[in-house]
Amino acid sequence: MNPKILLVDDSSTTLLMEQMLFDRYTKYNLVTARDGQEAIQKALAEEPDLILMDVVMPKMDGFDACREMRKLEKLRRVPIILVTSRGEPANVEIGFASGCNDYLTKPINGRELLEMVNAYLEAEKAE
Amino acid sequence: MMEECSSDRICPQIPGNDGDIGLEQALDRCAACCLNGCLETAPGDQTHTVWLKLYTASERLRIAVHEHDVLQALLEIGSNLMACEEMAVVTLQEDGRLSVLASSGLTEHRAEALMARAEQIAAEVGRGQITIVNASRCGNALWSELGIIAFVPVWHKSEPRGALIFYKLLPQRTGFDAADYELLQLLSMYSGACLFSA
Repeated sequence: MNPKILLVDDSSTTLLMEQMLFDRYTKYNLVTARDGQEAIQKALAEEPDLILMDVVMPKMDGFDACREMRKLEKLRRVPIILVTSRGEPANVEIGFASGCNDYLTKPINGRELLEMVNAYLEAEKAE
Repeated sequence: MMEECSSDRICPQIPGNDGDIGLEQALDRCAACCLNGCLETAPGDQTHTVWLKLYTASERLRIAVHEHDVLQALLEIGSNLMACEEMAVVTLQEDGRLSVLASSGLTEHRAEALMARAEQIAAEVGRGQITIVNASRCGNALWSELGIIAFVPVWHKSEPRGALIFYKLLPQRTGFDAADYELLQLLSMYSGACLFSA
C-alpha cells in the first residue's frame, strides 16, 4: 500500500501547491486538515506515515499540535515536518523542542519538499 | 531603486483574460497552461518553481472567484507564495480616498501613511505600471517613504480601481526573484476582474 501523508495548513493556497506536487510526482495518498485540532483527530483516525504541518494556524498551532501528538502512543513515532513562514533559529528551536523531525520554510521549494518527504518515507520503509 | 516589470518574461505564453470567455474559464485556461509548464520541467529547476507558483496562484484565484473569497486568496498568494509578511489590497473611492479592502501584517502607521498619500497612490494606479523596488539602489521618494517594495495597480474594465501593495518580505528572503516577477504579472492581469467582476 502506498504511504499516506497528512497535510495540515489553514491556507488553501499552500494545500493546493502541496497536493499538486504529491499528486503529480509521487503515489502517496493524501489526507488534509485545516488546524492543529483537526490534525490530531485526522492523524488518529487515518494513521498517516508522515505529517506535513504548518505552524501558524487557528485553534491550535503547529507547535502545540506537535507536542500533543508526541504524547499519544499512536503518533509518537510518526515523522512530523513543520512548514513555517518564520525560519529564524529561535523558531526552529521551538519546533524541534515540540517534537518535530524536520523543518521547511515558506515559500515552499518543490524539490526540497519532495526530497525531504521521500527521504523520511524511505527511511521508514527500510526500518 | 525602482524598476518597471520588464517584458522579458520566463512564461510569456500565459493566457490573459481577453474578455471573450468567462473569468473562471480564463483562469482555468491559465492554470492548465501553467500546469503544463510545470510538468515539462524538472522539480528544482528555476522555471519549474515559477510554473508551480503560477499554477497555484491561478488555480487558487479560480477557486476563489467561484467561492467568493478573492481577498483571502490574494493575501495567501502574497504570504505563502512570495513570503511577504506585510501586504495590503486597497481600492480607490469615487471621492479620491483610498480604503484598505484587506491586509495582512499591516501596521496602523503604514495604513495611515497610505491614506495620507492617497492622491499619489491614485496617480500611480492610473499609470498602470507594476513597480518593483530594488533596495540596492536609491530612487523614488514615495515608495521609500511608505516602505513599499512592490506595487501592482489593479484595473477593471479599463478603469483604475486600486492596488496590491507589498511592504516587507520575510527574513529568509533577500529580494524578489523570477517567480515573484511572474506572480506580480499574473496578479496584475487577473486581480481586477477577480475583485470587481462579481
